[in-house]
Amino acid sequence: MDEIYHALPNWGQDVLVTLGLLTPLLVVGLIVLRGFHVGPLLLGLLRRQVWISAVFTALIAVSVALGTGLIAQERGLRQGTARAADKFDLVIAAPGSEITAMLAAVYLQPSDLPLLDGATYAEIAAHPRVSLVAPLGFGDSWRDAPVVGTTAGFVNHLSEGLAAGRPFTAEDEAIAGARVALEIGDSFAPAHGVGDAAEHGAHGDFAYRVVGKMPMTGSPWDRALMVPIESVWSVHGLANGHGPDWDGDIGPPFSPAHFPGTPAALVRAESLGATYSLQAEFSTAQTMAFFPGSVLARLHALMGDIRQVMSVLAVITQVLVTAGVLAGLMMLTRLLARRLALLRALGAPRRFVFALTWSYAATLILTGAAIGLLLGIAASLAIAAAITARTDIVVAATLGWPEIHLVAGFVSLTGLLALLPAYLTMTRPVITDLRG
Amino acid sequence: MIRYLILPALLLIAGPVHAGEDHGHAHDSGGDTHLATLGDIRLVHAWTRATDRDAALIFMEIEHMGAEAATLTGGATDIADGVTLVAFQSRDGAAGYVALPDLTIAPGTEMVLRPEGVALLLTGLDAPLVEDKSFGMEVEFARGHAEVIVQIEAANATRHSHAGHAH
Repeated sequence: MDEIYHALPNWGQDVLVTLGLLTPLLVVGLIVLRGFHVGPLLLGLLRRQVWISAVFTALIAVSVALGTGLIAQERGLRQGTARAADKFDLVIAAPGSEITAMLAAVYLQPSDLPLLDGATYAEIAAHPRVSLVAPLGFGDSWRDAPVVGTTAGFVNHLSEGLAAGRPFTAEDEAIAGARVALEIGDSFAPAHGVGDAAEHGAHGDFAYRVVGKMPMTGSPWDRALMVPIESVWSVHGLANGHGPDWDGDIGPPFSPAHFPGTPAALVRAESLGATYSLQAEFSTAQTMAFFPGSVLARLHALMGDIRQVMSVLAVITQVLVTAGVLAGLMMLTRLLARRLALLRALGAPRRFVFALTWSYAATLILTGAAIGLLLGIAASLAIAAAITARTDIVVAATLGWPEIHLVAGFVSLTGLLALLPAYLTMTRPVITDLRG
Repeated sequence: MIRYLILPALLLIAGPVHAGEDHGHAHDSGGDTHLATLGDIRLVHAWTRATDRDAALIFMEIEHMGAEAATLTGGATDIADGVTLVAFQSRDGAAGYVALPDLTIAPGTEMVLRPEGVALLLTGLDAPLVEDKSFGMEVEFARGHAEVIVQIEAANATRHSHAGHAH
């Protein structure tokens, strides 16, 4: 059985799990409704109690939407942050915290990082299995956009081709991220630092001119300005990475003796295996080499536990709301007791009243869950848009199989709970209820 | 189950497996079950996670003290149908392990096989892996192979329970 399950494609496994979760409800429904045709009376009941039914359904829908929306959001955020790190195969920095270095290099969060020196950078650049190495120099900004010193090779790697313009070829040229409010031909003066503490005018009259525009990458780099690393060093009064015999062309090779240092270097290797070999080679007392994707995966593994807790909490919340609805339903059936007793007096068997009451509750639960799933999609999209606006990480949160499983489990569980008010209705004394 | 116990026991009793062969096989590790050697290569703290599925990842630390690069190619064990060298990769928001043909380990470096990194993937496991048990497997290099004892840790373990101990 286990082998058959694992032999199925992923979607087949998901469908099977969904059906498995819905099985208790289907079995109960078949047993409860067997031999009865409750449709006309059920419709009459819904019509007569339309507002109460609508309120109960809305309560269930909102609780389902909140639960599924939040869980879908967590998954969307996890995938969005991983996608944003796709281009950062291997990052080499001075020894320290991998997470701090990752937040700085991949997500452009301001951090104080120790620097890699020229000799180390040259060793990385000269490695025969390295196909691309680029320094990443942080610390300056323009408005809320970080100004990052790097090479044209890195910009090309990150963008896979500019959306407009050309790569920078001089120290005073810049490439703007897709969400930066600068167009080709615009100029800007970099401030020293980031945020409220940034020192405007600290770099004198130096200004960059935008010569290219990046396409959207779905990462914080969409709000960054990329400039030649030489200019970042120069405006801070440092050597520009090239010796006296420099031909004037910006970019590599850099002279180790005139290399002021870089907080991080992005490294690409000829293959995945070579990247892991490089990581081992540059995990030394002087250098820290890490895969942002692996660091994120470890963080996400921690979040996986949180996700499980969130899922359980979501189900508990939904069940509590439904329990409240079912309690309300019990009060409603008391109000309907005379009509139900009349049904019994006219010859309807007890089990018919049981089936009618259960099918009424099941209809509210199923309708509420279905509307809740739709509301969950809307909630996910709204929250995802808000997160994207705040973090620049494109979060594409859509409901998937985990949410469908959650709702299927919820529907089955509450469908079973609905047996209780149905049973209590069935056992009410007919004569007393007829007297009213 | 018995097979899990027999192989480590035999390895412990026998001491250096294949000892005396000059090239291409594991050398004496002094009875230390956490350590295996192949020339200048030391394999330390091989471990995996308890599981009842038919696949498991094997992790360890490989220290290469030699002068020439070594190439890790895979492995073999009696308890699984196949052993594949794999590496973790994250692409387009989805993460997973992909097969590697081989892995070069430069002289003087330590290659750590760990979760969300490089690992050896066992497929077609004969029986569940039970926590606190161990089993033997061959780790294959281009120059030969080494016999390691793989410690089965908890299902949610992130490291060998003796990680950090010197051997």
